[in-house]
Amino acid sequence: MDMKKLRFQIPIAIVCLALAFALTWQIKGQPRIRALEAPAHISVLVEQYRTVREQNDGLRIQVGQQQEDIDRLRHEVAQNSEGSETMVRQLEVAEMLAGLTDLEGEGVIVTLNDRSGNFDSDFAMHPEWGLIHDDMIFMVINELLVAGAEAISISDDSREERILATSEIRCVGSTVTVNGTRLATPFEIRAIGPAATMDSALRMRGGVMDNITLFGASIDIRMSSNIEIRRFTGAFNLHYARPAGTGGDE
Amino acid sequence: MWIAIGAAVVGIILGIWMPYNLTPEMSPYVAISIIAALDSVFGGVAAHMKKTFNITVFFTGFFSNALLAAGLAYLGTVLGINLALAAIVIFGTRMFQNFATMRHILLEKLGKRQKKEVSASEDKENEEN
Repeated sequence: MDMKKLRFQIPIAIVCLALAFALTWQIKGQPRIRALEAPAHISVLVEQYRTVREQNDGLRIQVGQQQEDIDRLRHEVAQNSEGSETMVRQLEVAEMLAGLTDLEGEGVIVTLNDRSGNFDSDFAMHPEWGLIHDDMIFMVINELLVAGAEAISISDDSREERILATSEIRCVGSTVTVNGTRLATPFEIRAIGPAATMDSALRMRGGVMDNITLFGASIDIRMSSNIEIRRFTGAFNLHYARPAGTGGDE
Repeated sequence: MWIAIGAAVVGIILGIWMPYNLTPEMSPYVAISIIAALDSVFGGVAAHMKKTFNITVFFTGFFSNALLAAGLAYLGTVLGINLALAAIVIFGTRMFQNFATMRHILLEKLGKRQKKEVSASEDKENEEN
């Protein structure tokens, strides 16, 4: 092979090698790079969500244990000192009202669920019409309180949240938060109180039941002679309120 | 010819063997370099067909275009505009033009050959008559 030909072929060979190498390397790396993008973020978030949820559950258990400790200590105090028994009884009533104790008694269980079935043209324009919103839950709770409910809680499949003086009920996307906890449909509202009165209050013509079923959401009312309502398991944090007349630090 | 094909095969094997993976940040620059290099190659083929091919021009152009394209893309990233798009558009256009040149030359050659065949057959017919 003569020099002139070689001088021509070597650069071509180098070019071929470089191009083939770069192409292969790049193509080989693409699936991995694509895999690094969107799905990875989701899996990381799912993982984080899981850990936080587990931590949360752990803390809940801890809160429960500590509340049991408090109950035990209070009992001991009541037994040891005279005259404090009335105070303990007062405290019990206050705690029942505040949602700090498990309660049971006669009442109703109201189940609210989103519209099911196919979405025809009317609903296609307003898909939110058949869904359970925070205002519907408000209506139900308000009606229950009017009818004499003494304790109310909202729950979904996994969580039960006691309604307190400070409870919020708020739509967040497709879920509703109560006491900062996300709940999803179907919601179960438990109320202890006069069952028959509460039942007929909800069923009043033009009342809560009619309003909720108007766009296809469903409501089911079940009376029971004994329902249980769990205590509030979160923590109270009052930053602004204090008993009147005690003065402020500021 | 065989040296070039052998080199390409070696390049492919090297690419598959390469233990380091491209990082997602680097990938666009390598991609734009590849586009520039491909443009050089097609330009070289077109030049060869036009009989204006110069190996030095081709060789230096191949690497400097690749580097320049990657450099421009990087500058774009630093400045916050997508300069890689400019490179893609330019190189893409040039590739199409080069293909057009190649096609024209090929068609011309084909046309000449057909003319020759036609004239040859005509001569034959004339002789027969």
